[in-house]
Amino acid sequence: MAGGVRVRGLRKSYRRVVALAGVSFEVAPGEVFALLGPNGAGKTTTLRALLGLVRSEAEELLVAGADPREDPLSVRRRVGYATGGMGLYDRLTGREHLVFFGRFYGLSGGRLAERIAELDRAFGLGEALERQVQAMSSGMRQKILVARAFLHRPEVLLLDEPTAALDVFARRALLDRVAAEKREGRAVLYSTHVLPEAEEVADRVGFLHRGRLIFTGTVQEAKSRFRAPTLEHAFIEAVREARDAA
Amino acid sequence: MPPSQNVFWKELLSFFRDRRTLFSQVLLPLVLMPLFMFLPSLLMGRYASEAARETYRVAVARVPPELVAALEEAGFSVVEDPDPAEAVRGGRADVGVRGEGRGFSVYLALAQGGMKAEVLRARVAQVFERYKEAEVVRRLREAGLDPSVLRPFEVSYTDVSPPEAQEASGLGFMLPMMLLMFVMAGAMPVVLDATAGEKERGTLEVLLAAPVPRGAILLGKAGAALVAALLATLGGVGGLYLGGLLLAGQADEAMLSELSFSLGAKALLATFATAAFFAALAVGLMTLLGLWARTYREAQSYVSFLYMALVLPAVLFGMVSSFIEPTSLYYLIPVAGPMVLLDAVFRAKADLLAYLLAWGSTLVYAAIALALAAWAFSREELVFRN
Repeated sequence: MAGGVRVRGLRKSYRRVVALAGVSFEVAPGEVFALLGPNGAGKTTTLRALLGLVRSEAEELLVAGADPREDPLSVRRRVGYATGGMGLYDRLTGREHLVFFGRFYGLSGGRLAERIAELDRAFGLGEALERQVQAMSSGMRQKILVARAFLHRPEVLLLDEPTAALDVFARRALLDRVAAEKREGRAVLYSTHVLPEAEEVADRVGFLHRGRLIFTGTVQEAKSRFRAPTLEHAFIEAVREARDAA
Repeated sequence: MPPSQNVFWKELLSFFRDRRTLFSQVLLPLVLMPLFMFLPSLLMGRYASEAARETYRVAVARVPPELVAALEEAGFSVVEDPDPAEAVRGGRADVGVRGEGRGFSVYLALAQGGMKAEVLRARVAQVFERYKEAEVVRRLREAGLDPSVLRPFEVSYTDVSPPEAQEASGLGFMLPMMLLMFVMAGAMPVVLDATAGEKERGTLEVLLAAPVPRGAILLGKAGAALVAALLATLGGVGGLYLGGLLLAGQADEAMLSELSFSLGAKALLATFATAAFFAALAVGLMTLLGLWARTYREAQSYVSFLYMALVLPAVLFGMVSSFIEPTSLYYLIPVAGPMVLLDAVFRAKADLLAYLLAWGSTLVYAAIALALAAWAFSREELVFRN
């Protein structure tokens, strides 16, 4: 799977705390997979492992055709990563952020300017491009954060709570953008605890609970498996089952 | 653009846009260095001069008229009082003198008067010395002897140490310590913001997720911090020079001449180079501490121990430097070595070996600190500690 994500038996412990206990899932090119779970379920650790930011064990770990444990830089070159509400420098403007990160991906000059203009049109960055982060609204900040992840046309998108702090218009633009990226053949791993959002955007979902993936399937499969009217109800029922089983 | 250079320029851009930090790093040392170092000495000298000229009240009992005349001639206002000690205690007089048999008792409120009382005691002692001398001369003459028998030879003392050393003698280790503290203060905001600050804000994780080797990120950050520290060094050395110039204008007063301070071009260059080597060490150590800490505040508390590594040796060396000559080993002391070298530079005592030892060892310590910082940067339990 050159442009997707394949994870089999992913394990990660922080000293005695087990953060991930054998997580397995796949995200195919042109697919949006939503990783759902409450805070502390292991979503961020999963994304960090996929980027090679933390050491992990797995039977198989492939992101955009490379193993992040062996060649993290190659993975990072092909992956776009956005984490919600964090990760901007107060004294840089939105444009300076995009230029700064663009250079890491080999973009510069006219190509970079053109790409920034495209992202401006796609996300409505507007004033955020010329304003320093410290003077931006939280919505503006989030737009820059998300735009940065799309900057180098990555094969795989890892989006961690990407709609946090976005207003309704920006949120809509982002969800539309994710749908467009999917149509263009990109694999999108969408981590969130906003379940209605996942219901709209995801082809398949995975319920993560205390480091274990307790369900993977389509939204429809989740609803019928847990006899729930919405994905949110299905998730709550799945967690209840897992607790009872433990 | 290589990734380390990209990080370097980003850090510098952030630094130069933070006007408050820029002001506190470059302009503040320029103003504070002369102010902190010379103002106390200047004020002390001024007040001591005023105290030496002030008219004090002397309560006297059973003292000969010659002594009263000598006191009045020295600028004291003399009043008769049956109990001079009580007059001083009650605040009616600054000094009390009582004649007792062949001697005199002098009463002063030393514990309450501090430095001013010491000046007063010195003035009274001077009057007694002159009075005693006059009395001896008078008695020798009465006995038909030449008063010069008391002075069979004259003794004069001359300070032959270099002018720079004479000028710096009144300042001890204070100047080197202050200068290096400014260098540390210059590096601190940039280093801690680029390490612990980035961890706290979550920007470090995003930066690490970019296709950049960690070594390149560290290099860019350390390079920018070094530039900030060098700017602070420039401010500190400039302040030192400015302070010397300002004091030169005040040096006509006798009490200030000891505190004058000036550095030649070579010594200034040596001072800047020493502070620059120290800046590299400070950046290395602070980078390590910043990566170790969870938050900016935690990192600040670690850095305060670095300041102690300067202050404690400065106090100790300041106390014992008159009695011991620094051996080569002193220049090798981490953090404090450059301070010992700067003191030697200011006293015109630094030789080639001193420079080689202090600069070389500081560079080695800086490299070790940076290597440890690189190790810390590769540890996920430290990088994602917050």
